[in-house]
Amino acid sequence: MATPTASASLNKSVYAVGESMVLTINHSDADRQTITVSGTVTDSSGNSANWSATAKIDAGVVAFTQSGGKTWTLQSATDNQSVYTATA
Amino acid sequence: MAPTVSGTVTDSAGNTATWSASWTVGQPSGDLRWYGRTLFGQSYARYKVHTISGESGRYAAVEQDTQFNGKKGSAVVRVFGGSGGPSYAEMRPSYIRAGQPVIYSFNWPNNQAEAACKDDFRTFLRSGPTVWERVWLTHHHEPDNDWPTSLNRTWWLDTLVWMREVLDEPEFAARATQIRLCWIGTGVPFQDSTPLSSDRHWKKIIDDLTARAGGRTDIVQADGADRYNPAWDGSQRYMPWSNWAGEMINCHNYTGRPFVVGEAGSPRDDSNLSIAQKDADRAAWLDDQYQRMRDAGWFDAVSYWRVPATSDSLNAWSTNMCTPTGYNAQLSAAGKTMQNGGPDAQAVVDVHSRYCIESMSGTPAIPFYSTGLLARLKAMVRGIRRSRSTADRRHRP
Repeated sequence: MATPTASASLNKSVYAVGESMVLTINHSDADRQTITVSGTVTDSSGNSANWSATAKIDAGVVAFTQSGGKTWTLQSATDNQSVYTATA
Repeated sequence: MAPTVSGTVTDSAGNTATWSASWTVGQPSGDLRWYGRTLFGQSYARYKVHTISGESGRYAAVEQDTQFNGKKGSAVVRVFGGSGGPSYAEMRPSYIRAGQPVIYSFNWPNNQAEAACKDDFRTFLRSGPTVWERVWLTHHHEPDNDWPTSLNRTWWLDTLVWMREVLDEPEFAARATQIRLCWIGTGVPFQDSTPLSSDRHWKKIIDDLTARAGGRTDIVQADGADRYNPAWDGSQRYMPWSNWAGEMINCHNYTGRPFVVGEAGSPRDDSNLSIAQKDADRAAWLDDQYQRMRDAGWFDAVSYWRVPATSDSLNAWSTNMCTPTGYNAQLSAAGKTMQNGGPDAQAVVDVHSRYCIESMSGTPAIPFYSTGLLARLKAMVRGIRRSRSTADRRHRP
């Protein structure tokens, strides 16, 4: 199992009071992949239906250990990136 | 230490990566120095009509002025409000630089009832963000100029108490940390010639405020004056620090509070020296006062009066007075003599700009104090010290 990597950056280093802060967390994992399993179901008459399902392996769970006194609200998330906002 | 947000990313096997990011609040564009030493800025407009062709134009003309080595901006800007009560939009018009501290004054109709004032003030406080930008907030511009004619002095004192009572309400705790409630008089309360018994003397104003507040001494968090060198009247040269600031120093020693100079400056003196020499002397005077205020450590903010005459603060600018050509045109057209800028006064402008720029760089040092328990304790200590100090003075020969 590979260890994930993560980095975080803010859109600015200095904020005015009340200004919006955007926190972007980039995270990746060599094991991360999306598996798709698919197949068909066939009845005795030869009629068939397709099915599929996807599963994400090691999507990575983002957690906060320290908020810096702010309430961070998730704005968007992909496999590799989570974006949060707060008010300075 | 800068605030930090940190966390982890964990995969399905429990492997973890950590991340973190830090930031600073309080120093927006221009690396503004907010706390600690004096903020130098400009007072160039009165009421809401600061326009060349519009408010933003006049603000931009001053803030974008590049006369000093191509640099620009004010660490603090004074905003004069109208007479309809406080307004957040008026205090922080959209064109003001993000985070720029302001010195804001507003008026309520004379003798407006307590409940109406408090409700109005609560509405005002709620109209801004949860955590406010820095503001030195005062009710009534130069109040001592308006009593006893158009302003009820006792009522005005009471309004400060009412504002404090509202600021102390738990709902406004976060906003209150960014507000320094103050009063800013004319220069009269701080002139040597103003008798202690005068209603306009700073000590009588402060003592009367304490009395109206039932003995509470922490109603305001700063005292202030619009303090000019009295060469204003053409009869004197430039006052030494001991005269110009003497009563401000006495006031600070009495209250232990910071001080705000809402308007500072001086016209040229009426000596027989050349214009160039008068301006050189004036620049040296300003440099001396600024340096001493900065080094005193308890002057919060100083804004420089930067227009030729009062009418130019009241009326729209027909020309950009930040340019030498525009300034001279305005000056000669109106036949004005009070000059704080213009090409002949480049030395004065340079001094002022140098302090503005300096106060916009560096590291914040001293945070605002809140109106919570700590502030109350500080006020108690100040009160004890003051009692002792007063007793000491009484026993001096």
